[in-house]
Amino acid sequence: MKATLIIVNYNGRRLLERSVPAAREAARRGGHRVVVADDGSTDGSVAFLQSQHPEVHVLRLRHAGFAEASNAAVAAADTDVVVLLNTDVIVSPDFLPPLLEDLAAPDVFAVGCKFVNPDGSLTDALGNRTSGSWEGGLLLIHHETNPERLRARCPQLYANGGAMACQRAKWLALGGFQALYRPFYWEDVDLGYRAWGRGWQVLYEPDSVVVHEQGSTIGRLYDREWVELMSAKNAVLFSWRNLLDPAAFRRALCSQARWAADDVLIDGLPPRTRALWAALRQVREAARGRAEEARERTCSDAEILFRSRGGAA
Amino acid sequence: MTRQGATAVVLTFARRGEQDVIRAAVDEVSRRAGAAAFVAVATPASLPVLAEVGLRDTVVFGDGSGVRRVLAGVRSRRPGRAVVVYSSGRMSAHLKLEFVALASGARMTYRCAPGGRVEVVGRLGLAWSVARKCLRAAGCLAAGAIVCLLAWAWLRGAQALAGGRYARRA
Repeated sequence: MKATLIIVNYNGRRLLERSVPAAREAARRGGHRVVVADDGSTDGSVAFLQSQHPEVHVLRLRHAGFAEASNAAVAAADTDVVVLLNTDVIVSPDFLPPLLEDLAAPDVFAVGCKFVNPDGSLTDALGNRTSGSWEGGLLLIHHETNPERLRARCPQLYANGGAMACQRAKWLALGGFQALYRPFYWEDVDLGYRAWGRGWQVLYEPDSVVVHEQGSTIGRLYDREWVELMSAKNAVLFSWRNLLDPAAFRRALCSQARWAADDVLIDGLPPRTRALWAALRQVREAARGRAEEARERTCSDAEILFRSRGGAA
Repeated sequence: MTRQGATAVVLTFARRGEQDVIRAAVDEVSRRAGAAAFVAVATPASLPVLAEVGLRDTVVFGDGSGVRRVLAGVRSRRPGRAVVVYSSGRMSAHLKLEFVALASGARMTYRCAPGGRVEVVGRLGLAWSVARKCLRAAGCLAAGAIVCLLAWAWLRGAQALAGGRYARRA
């Protein structure tokens, strides 16, 4: 089984200097291909790749955001498996074979890697053996930090978009990352949730290790408060798009309605209330996604969370 | 039982590093109102800060004690003045402090902002401040409810038009 390693880049030239050689080495071992999807960088990333890594295919795109760049790169790939990598992820040379082995099962949609810090310790960022629960109107994401529980391959809610392998055909069937979540965050959670909703699995693979230099992509380019607002807005949109259980959906909206009252008691305008207003502007888009989800879903929200924690179908 | 008016009740959520705010407030009230005995009403987190500024007579809330017990503890001191120290920027904290000040029975309240500004209000002025904050929260709750009702109608409508629940369930 051949794979295309896709590095989605936006003004990450400095990071490419480390991530591309690692990806090339991993790809070389299995005869795979490396593609950099450049999302309209202006920092000389493309010139750097053309001069230093001429054998790497560069897909030059107009700046449209992470989701669109990823979707375009996956659509352009010609292999059964695609591996999405962030520019701040350094893969280990042998990270690919365990992923390909897992993806050989017909009901597996995606497999996520084991994320570690540059010193080999486990990362605090979301990524390893993810799970979720609906609380206070939002899906709360959890990730495993106990090393003992990260030794075996197991199901997880979603594979972190920073380093994930997936079946290209299933990606296309799901419609890939949703532009609803522009500019970033929650696309990968949404994709994993919807895959489980169609009866497919998402796995965590401990033998596929990658180093994640946390937050160095978005944190470097954007204001922190704005990033938090976008994340909160997308958390709301995720619930609006995907929470189909009527009672749970009503409870979620009641919780969200209370935010405005809670937040007004705090000086300044905090992200939660602003996030609600920002989400309302995209309600039509969320409604279209929800309609599609209602047509395609094969199990309940509770079943999705249960199965993604390893419960039997 | 203490004589009404002899005691000033200090209400605060101040944390470590905010001792100066409380000290300034207490000094200002002592200067304006003469030598008063102070009793502090605070959460356990504020107790070390209060001890540092010499306020050792305390009524603690937020440690699982019922609101009635806290209010009874405050009222038993028969405070004539209340000192609200607005160390936190949270309006919910302001509301709680003002509510306790109102319920304490104090006739006069000194509202002390971190910058050192002190404003004196009577019971009516304090009640109006509490009511205004409650009204603002209620208005926002209504706005939040309208937003979510709109979203609910739109999203549930789209879902209903799309077809049955879990249409592809095997």
